[in-house]
Amino acid sequence: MTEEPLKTIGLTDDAKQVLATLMAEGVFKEETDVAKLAIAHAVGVGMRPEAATNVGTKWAVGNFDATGLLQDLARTHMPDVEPTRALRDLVNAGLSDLKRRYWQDGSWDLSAVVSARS
Amino acid sequence: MKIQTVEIEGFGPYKERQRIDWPANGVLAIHGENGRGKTTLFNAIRYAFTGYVKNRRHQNIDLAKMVNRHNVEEGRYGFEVKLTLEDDGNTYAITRSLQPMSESVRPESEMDYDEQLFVERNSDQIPSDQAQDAVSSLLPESISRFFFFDGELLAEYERLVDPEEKEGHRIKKEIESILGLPVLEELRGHMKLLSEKAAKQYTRLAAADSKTQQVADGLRDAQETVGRLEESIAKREGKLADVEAGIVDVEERVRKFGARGEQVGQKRAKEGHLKQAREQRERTVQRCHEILRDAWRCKLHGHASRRIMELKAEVGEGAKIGQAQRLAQELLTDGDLIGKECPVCSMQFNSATIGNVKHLAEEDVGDVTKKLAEIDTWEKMVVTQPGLAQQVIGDVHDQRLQVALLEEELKELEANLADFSEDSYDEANRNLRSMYSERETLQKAIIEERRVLKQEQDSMEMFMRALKKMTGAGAHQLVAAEAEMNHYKSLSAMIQSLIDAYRERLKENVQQAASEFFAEISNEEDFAALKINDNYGMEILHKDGTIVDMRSAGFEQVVAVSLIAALHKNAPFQGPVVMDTFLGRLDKMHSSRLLEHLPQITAQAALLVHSNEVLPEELHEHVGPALKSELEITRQRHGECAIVKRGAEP
Repeated sequence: MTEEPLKTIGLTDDAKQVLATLMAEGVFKEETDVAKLAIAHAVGVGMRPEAATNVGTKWAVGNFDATGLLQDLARTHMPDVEPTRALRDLVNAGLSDLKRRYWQDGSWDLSAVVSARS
Repeated sequence: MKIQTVEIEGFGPYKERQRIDWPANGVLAIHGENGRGKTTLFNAIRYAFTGYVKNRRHQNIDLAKMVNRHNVEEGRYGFEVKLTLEDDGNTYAITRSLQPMSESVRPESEMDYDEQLFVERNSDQIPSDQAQDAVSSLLPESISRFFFFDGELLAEYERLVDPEEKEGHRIKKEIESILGLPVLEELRGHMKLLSEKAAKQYTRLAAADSKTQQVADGLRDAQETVGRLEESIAKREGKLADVEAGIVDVEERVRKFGARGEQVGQKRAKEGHLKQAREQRERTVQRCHEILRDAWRCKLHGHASRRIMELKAEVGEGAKIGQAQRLAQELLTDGDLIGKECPVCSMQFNSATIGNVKHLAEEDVGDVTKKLAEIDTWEKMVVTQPGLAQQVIGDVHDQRLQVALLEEELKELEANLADFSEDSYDEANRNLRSMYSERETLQKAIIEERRVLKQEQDSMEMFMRALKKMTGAGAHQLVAAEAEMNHYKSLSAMIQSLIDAYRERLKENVQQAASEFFAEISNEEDFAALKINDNYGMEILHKDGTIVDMRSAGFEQVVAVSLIAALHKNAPFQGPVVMDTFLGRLDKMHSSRLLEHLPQITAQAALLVHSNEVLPEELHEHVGPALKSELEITRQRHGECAIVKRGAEP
């Protein structure tokens, strides 16, 4: 882990769009709730994604993960990647995979999205 | 009373003047298919007598709607109905017409028209302010229902069977009107007045005598109070009757809102349910927002649990040494251990034991410590209710669905009620509630006044008894006055008994006549009689003495016609009967029997029929020689009809 720690977590345009459609369902209060869910999904299905590119800045990591729990998760799951970068990559990959699995005919299978069974 | 001619012009589809010559006796049949104008003709004749036109649901129709549409297009407004009739040796001509109020304003509603009524008796014009009274004396509106009826009106008699039915009391009054009871009621009222007058005279005489003056004063006071109370009770009872009649009308109005009215209730209930469902949905969404903050933990729960199990299995027995090493590492991070207590054995650390701790902390135990740290991390991820997120999502989904369904149902109800005036419905219900309240207040006041009246009447009796024991100068005058008073009292009581007995006899006669008519029409082997109740409602009595509970619509109609036939037979007033499309509920057998017995109801009857009710040849067969004339309503063009002799070229 020689990389300089990232201060922010950003999303690709595709991930932003996925996030927006999930937010539009009205069941999540904050975008960070969806982003964390996407990270959990990515970890749960064993994704170890490549570094996401073309991401902007969306959340300051200090606000996104104030307790550091997600960074611990990132360290455990992707020990070779700097935790904030790992979170960034997991959230982008996770959103994309959620869409691939649970988005059909213009609507979400929300029950599956939040299901504890990955 | 017998109708001689009917003339109609500009009324409904009758654009040009139509004339019907009514046979003096027997049956006049007027044929016409649906929509030709049978009911309009029926309405026109009734309009001449009553001044109103009713639709099939017996609601008054704006008279402007009765003006012929082609005439309106041609700028000719108004209509006229003229009847000539004979009654008690006199000839009457009744002309009732609607004329535009102003030539410059195009009439839109009844308000833009003037109604004119001209009545001639033996070619002499009756003054206009007496014209309506003259028509009412020929056919009082209160009994018009027995002379002009259709299937719907006949159906009202079903209600008379229910003794609690308010409408029943009104119809009962109308029935007693046709049977002539009001004349006797009036006579009883007159006797009562005479009796009161005599009582006052008696008191005056008693007051004039010094010996009886004091008691007479008491009697006069009691008499005055009784008079006031009776007047007040009569006033309240009159008011109560008005309120009850109003209630019947408004209940009828509310009833006539029918399914629409029920839909308003459903819509309001639905709006309430929808509001509750939306609030519940909002609460669940808020709860969902909170629960889904930890959705990521729920999502990770399965994976975390598996990882914890895997790691624990991998660490196995090494866990203990690993845990000891982690404890040693933690102790060392706390600084100098000298003098501190060991958290495991409670001994104080010394240099030797500190050396052991340092050794343990640095000992190579493989990746056990790392795995234990990872277990710690995963344990922080697990949640106690991993299914909670999914459950709350399900709740939100269900409640959204519920709201959507309710919205859809409400939309449908709103669409059904789009052209319905909820304000009128609300107003009718408000009126009804206010009338119920007024009725209750009046009833309570009447009960209270009757109680006081009884007390005052007892006082009067007491004073009278006291006066009888006294002898004054005018004793003989007092005796004469008392005799007069008692005379009127007993007359009044006698008339009351007469009324009661007459009413009972009338009811028996009506019951007998109706039973005979019903037996002839129905031809039921098990039929014993029709049994009349206090409201003149008729129940069918079976031979085994039981009442037939579930009567068919057709039987109801036969019972109603039997009642009407019986009333005509027992009424002092005789007149023509006009029946509009009233055979519809009857089967062939009953309608043919009814037609055969039609001439028994009245000397002059008119039947407005269409071919589905009875075919012309059937009419000939069943009515027989009593069928004196047959007319036909023919269509000239859309919105214009003519009345011609049946079989004649239009």
